[in-house]
Amino acid sequence: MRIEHWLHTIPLRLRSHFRRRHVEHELDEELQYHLEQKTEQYVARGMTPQDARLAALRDMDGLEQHKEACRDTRRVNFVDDLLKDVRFGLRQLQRSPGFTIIAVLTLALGIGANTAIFSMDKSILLSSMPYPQPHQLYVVREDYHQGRQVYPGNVDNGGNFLTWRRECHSFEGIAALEPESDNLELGQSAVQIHGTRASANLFAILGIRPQLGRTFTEEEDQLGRNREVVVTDALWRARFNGDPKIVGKTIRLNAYDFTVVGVLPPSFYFPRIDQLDPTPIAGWTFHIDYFVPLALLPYESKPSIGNMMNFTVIARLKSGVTKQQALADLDAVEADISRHDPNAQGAFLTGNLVPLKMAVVGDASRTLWILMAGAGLVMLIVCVNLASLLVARSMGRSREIAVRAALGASRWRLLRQMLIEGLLLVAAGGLLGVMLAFDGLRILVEGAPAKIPRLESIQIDGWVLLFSFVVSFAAGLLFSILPGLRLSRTEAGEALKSSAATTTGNRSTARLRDVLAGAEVALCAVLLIGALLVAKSLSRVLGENRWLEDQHVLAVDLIAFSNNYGTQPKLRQLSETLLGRIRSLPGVRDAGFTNALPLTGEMWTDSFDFDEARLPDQQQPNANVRFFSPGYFQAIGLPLVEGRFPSDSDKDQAEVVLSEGFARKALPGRDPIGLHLRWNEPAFNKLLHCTVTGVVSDARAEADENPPLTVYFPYWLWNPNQISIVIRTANDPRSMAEEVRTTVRDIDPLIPIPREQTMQDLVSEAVAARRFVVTLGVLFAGFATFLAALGLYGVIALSVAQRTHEIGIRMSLGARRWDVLKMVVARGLKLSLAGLAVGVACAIPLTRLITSLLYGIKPTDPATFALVGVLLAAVAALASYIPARRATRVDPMVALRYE
Amino acid sequence: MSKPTDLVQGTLDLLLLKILALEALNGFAISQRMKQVSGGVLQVSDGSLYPALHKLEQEGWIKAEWRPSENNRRAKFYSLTRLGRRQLEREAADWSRLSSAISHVVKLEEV
Repeated sequence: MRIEHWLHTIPLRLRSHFRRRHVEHELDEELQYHLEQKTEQYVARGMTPQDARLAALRDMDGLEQHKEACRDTRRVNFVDDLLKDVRFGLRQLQRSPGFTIIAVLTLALGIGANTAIFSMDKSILLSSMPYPQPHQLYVVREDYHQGRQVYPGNVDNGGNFLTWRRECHSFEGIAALEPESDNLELGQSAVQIHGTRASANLFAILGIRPQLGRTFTEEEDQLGRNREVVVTDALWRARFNGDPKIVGKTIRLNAYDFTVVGVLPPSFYFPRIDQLDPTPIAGWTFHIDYFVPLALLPYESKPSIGNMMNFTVIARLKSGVTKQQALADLDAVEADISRHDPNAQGAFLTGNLVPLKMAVVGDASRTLWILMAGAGLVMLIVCVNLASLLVARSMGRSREIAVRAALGASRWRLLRQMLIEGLLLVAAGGLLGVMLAFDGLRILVEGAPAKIPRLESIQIDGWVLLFSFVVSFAAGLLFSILPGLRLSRTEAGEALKSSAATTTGNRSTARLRDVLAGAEVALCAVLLIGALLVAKSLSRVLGENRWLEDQHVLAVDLIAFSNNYGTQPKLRQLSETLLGRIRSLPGVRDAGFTNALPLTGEMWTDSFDFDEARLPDQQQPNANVRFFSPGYFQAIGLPLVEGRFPSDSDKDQAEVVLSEGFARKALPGRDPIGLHLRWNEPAFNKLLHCTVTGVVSDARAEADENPPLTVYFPYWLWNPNQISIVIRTANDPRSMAEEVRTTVRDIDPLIPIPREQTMQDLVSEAVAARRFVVTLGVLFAGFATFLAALGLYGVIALSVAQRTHEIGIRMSLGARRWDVLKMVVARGLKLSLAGLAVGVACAIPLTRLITSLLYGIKPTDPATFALVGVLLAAVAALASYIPARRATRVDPMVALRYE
Repeated sequence: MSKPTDLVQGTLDLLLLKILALEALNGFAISQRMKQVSGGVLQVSDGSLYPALHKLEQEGWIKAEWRPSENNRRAKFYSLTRLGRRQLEREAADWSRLSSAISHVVKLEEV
């Protein structure tokens, strides 16, 4: 019904507008026809043609009024007036280009920032995962309970996973995966690629079909049959030139032959490794390139609690099953597993279901919302600033408004004029802002730390544009309605009576401007405090890791094939050859290797005790396991605390180095040197007894977390096949990189070098997320400070202009320049202090919300608050000094004549 | 908009719709027909007829079309739209409800 109505009326309205002359002509013609007919009728009754025509006109009683009434029915007047208002508004804005430029630019920056940040938030946090029924997908984790202690959200045990698969009925499907990095051989060279072992049903759970071939079958997901690989579209295109006959061909991964059975479609999305694992290895920010069958090894298939927790499990709930039901189901099985584990000793497991999207987005969501809030505050300041500028302008326009009101303009019409001018400004600002946002977003995404998930999906789409539109419109209303209301209430008589020079002196308007300027300072204080807190946190985190940075050190990662170097003797041979060659390069002071550099996460944890201090299994302290070669600690600069480091001459001795923290925790009050560490690692199939020879300083695994307890074993006990060679150089470490690469290639060209980095690179990657937030925070706060300064300057400058007369009188009565200066600056300071007080009061509860972003500093750090106070006072003094100086130049004679 | 004083508010729309429901007519013919069918009782001034017609057109109840009249001059002919037909039914129903209620009241007073 409504639609049908518009079908009729819209063409009519458009016609009335765009073919106005035609429509007018038709009206004339229609009425003319009537008159002629009527005239003929009268003539037929015997009147003379002239009399007949007059009589016909008389019957019409007022042709022109009726025409106007007909025009009214077309409702063109409303739009006409609107267009007039728009044209008038444009002229007004043209007349004050300075104001217009500032308004449009600040709006553009505010809207641009909001658009860019919102498009990040929307793509990362609000869009659902690109799988069918994504809300039914969960990541299954295990919570480990021991006494009162809970260690939540661990990755899972393989045997437990098999038990869930058998016994839980809430899942439509449940799949396990364990990421790995491998060498892909390409003729005479090799590259490192990243993939994952995965259950055959993973693809069914995610609802993904391959574009070529098939995925693996359940039979292939068995030990001894697991030589199939499914590759992603990206790998297929990058490494196999999109070969359409790839299915059935053999590729060499880690020097084993794998048959390609399928290629996934280009639209397939899979979270990165670090996003599925709650405690990922830092730096493992890789995309998955391929999938191989999971094929659990026997020792991985044994249900257990607190052991061999290596697998990420993804489950799809049956439709209609709630998370609570699934969790209850899972917990029943977990309780059963805990009961049957002979080593449990009172510890037990419970299940933990995390929605897949939450697992992927994780910690980033809080940061992203905080950034959005920051951008929102900036927008608010932009609006307040514009409102204040518009109020100032409106003072100058009160005569114009009064004249219009006296001539019969309604209050609504006057208000509408103000609103239209505001909307014109936001239209220009919004358009420019969205254009800025496209560029800004590109810079944001490039500068964003790799840790932030789903960066590749970020884009400005219809929803984002709608958001920008709504924000712009709301901003326009917000900043023009206040001055508009004030103006439209202007008393025409009053304004017209008073002379031009004094109409600006409206008391309540001045008070409104003061309030607005104060509000800007308050908002700005909140932003500044927040930005300063995160910046200080960053500098503290950097301080904690300074020892690492201040070095001429290069780290080169490399991987040895598990087939060509499949045995420990072969691996050791390789390591020793490599190390020997690198040590003999000119400019190398020290060189050694490890399996995991500092700041690259907790790689491998296990529990330990000592022959001299036996503990039951569950009470043994957990520690990170690291392997090292002689020369490693010297090269990276970790100082020895006690004892000695095993050297090349100690080869094959069962020795071990403890971190200071571990020694203190595991052996309180005892001298660890000479004690014997026991290590029962299932992968080794034997119990190791190692003599403690030394204690080394703690090193962090995460830039902003306390160092983990760590145990360092020499490489001759177990030689990892992925190592980082650490080289301390005499000169610029970067210049060594090429020589090291040549050396490695010389030994075996098939060994890939995925990464070379200096310690500065290492630290800066570890703090990238913090730095990102700080950069944006400082940008926001800087812009806010600029706006607040502008607002204060505006208020003070105007009040000086208003008081020229008064200042003239004061000076002629003997006031000195210094007194005038003091008077004006004091007013600015008073305003900013009031704003500051409000801002600080708001900041105290608000900064608590960003606690998660802080390090080593309280959200109510008094020094930070004080610094912001001083900073804003200085800005206020500066902003009011400029107009104050102008005031002191007032010539009393001129000022008094100035009426 | 000027309205004939001797017509109950809103009834002009009803009359116009009803007349146009019978056949498409131009403005002059409508004024003639109005007099004719009401036996001269209902008189609408020529002037106020046109704003009323234009309003109905803008509402989408009637549509206009230029074609030759009986004396072969170009004239604007109005005819009912589907929406207009529905509106007519609604207004006619309202009218009969109203008029029967009023005549009922009037009769009550006579008793």
